[in-house]
Amino acid sequence: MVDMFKVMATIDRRIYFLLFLTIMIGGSLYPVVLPMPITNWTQTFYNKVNEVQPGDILIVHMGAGPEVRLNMWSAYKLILWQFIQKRPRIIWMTTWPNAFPVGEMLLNDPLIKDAIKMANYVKGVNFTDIGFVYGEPALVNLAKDFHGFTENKFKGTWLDEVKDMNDIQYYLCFGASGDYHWAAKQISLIYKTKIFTVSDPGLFPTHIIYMQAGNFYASIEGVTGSAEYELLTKHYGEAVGRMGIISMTHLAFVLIIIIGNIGYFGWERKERAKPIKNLGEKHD
Amino acid sequence: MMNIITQKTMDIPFFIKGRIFGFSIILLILLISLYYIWTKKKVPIRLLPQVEAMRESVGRCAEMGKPLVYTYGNPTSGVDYWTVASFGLLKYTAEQAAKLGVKVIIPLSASPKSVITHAIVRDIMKEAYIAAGTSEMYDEANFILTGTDDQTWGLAVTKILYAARPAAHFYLGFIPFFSVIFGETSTSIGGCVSIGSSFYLQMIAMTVVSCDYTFIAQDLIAASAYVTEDPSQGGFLRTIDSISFISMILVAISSILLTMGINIIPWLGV
Amino acid sequence: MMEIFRKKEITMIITTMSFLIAFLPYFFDLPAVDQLSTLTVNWAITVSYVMAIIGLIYMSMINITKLQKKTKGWQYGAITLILVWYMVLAGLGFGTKDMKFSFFYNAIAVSLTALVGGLISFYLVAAGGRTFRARDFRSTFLLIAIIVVLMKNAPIGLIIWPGFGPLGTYTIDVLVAGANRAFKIGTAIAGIALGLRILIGRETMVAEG
Repeated sequence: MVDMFKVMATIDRRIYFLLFLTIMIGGSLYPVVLPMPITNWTQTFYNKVNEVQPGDILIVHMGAGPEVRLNMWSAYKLILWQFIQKRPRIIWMTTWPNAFPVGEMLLNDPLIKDAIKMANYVKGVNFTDIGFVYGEPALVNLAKDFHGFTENKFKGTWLDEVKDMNDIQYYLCFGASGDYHWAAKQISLIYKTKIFTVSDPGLFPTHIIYMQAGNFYASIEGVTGSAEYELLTKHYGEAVGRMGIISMTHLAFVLIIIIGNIGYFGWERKERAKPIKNLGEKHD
Repeated sequence: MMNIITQKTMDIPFFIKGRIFGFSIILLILLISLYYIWTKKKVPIRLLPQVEAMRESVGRCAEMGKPLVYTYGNPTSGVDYWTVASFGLLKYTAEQAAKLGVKVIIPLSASPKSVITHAIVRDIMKEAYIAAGTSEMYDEANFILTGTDDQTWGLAVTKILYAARPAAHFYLGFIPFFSVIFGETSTSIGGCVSIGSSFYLQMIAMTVVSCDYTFIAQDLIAASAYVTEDPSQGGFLRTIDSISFISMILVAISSILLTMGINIIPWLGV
Repeated sequence: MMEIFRKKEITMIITTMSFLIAFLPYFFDLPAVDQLSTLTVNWAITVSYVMAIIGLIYMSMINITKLQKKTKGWQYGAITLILVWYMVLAGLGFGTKDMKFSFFYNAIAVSLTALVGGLISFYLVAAGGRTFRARDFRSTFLLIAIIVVLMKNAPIGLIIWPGFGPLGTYTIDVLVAGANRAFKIGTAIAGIALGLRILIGRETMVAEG
């Protein structure tokens, strides 16, 4: 007689892997779109981007690696698209070597390319790429003395009016996991610049505390934020479709936990309470 | 909530407005640290069960004739306090292992700023083996260079675990999201005790469930202070605790006052 | 003569001077020191660029030694060397926008980074399924919090019970944020204390390293 509780408590993890694989393949082939609400943080972010005025200066901190292409791409694309609709003047900087190709991919995305064309962005007139700004010390010096750091390369252009970070109204951080710390430490406490960040999924609580303290102006979580932004901007794409898979995998995980606990109370707890009769007797 | 810098209250010569409070905190930290260093006051630290488990695990490795893998993390910003605490525990582990003749495999982080740690780790191991009289056990092949970023480093350590099949795996220090993978890998190898820590608060719960013993937050520093028996490390721990306590009091008082409608934040931003 | 530069005291003096140059302008209005701070930080930036090159050379040396001695896994060392130096030379020669660079980046780096992210999730599931048990009050509370947050993040959870939304938001915005704050404060204090210990010479490991 098979002890069902024992089976529930000792399910092989390969079955979990198979289950998740099935959900992902099934979800990719037959996407399920479920209604989802817009969270307060995403709505606030969206509203605050809408406050940007034409001619305001936005500095884009491009520090994301290739992993964002797969989970947060919609958020990056649509946030940048929304900013471009507001026609700020853009300074583009890259902070990690592996962020250059990602920046290229973002700027060459069809939606962004069209938006840039419609908004009449011209390099050197209202869009400038200042290149590689490597590390927190570089950001400190850039923020303190823009033209000193960039070796006066941009003197005589529209960037003449930028002396330090106080002359830049908005800071959009597409950073890797550590980059938003740089913005919080070196920009938010010293300058008046308003910081927008897009967070990695696991690190959003840290962004929340910075928002609550006033360091960040607005922040969204990258994965669900992508789907929410697609709903807000009505550019439906991969992120909304992916939420179906996320739903199923979350539900599966919860069911795994519940089944495991049923097995625990039915069998494992009694097994663990048994005294060890022989030396070397295994307890799983 | 407004940035406190904009709510300045008084001008003090030479000081930049809004930063006096921050300077006072740093000064306080310095004074408390110096007090413990000068007075050489011994700070009582209880024996953490994780440290006892580390000692037993080294013995287990000796009995089973298997190596021990010690991962001090991937400190991408150079040497930070997690890594320093981990070095204290590495020294302790190395001394135990050298006495019992246990091979210790150490994955070295290859990120540019962590190259400084390679020399420190080698010195610790060499000194431990020399002190135990087993200097012939020191082998450069036990130091394995891994990757630069978190992913490549983590996968390299996982590969080392599968190849070496250790009886114990200590991952203490600047450990990012990989702590769960290390715990799971140790379980799947079978017969491997894993003692871990994590740099990210979000991973601590997962680290606790996936490994046998966990160092949570300042446990690592406390354990390092305990095993090194260095009064200044104990003072370091007491400094952190004192300032944390002061912060707690300030948060509680300001919360109560704010609820009553009195905002003391502008006054703190002097 | 050169022995003087290897003394621990010289390291400490340089560290302390660099610290003061960077630290003082943040709190005190000292224009001259501020300019010196900018210069020092520029040096730090240059050093970090050089460290990347040193890292590359060091990694190459390790793998070449592996190749020469034909130690276990030397084939992987060979592949590493070929790929790394190809990317360096292609990037320098053709630029990062060129197909010869970007193809390999998109085909290898992007895919493998995604692989690692995916692996983490599978391991999390395996760990969670095995060890999330309601053994006592604390683990039960953890389980409830996990289920609430998971269901809040998934649209299907909000369909099953709309209460997961506000409950999950409260958990993250209040409970998790509070714990994060405490953790951050502790980490910041420990970082400052460690820095001060290094400056006053009590942290011998770092100075000797």
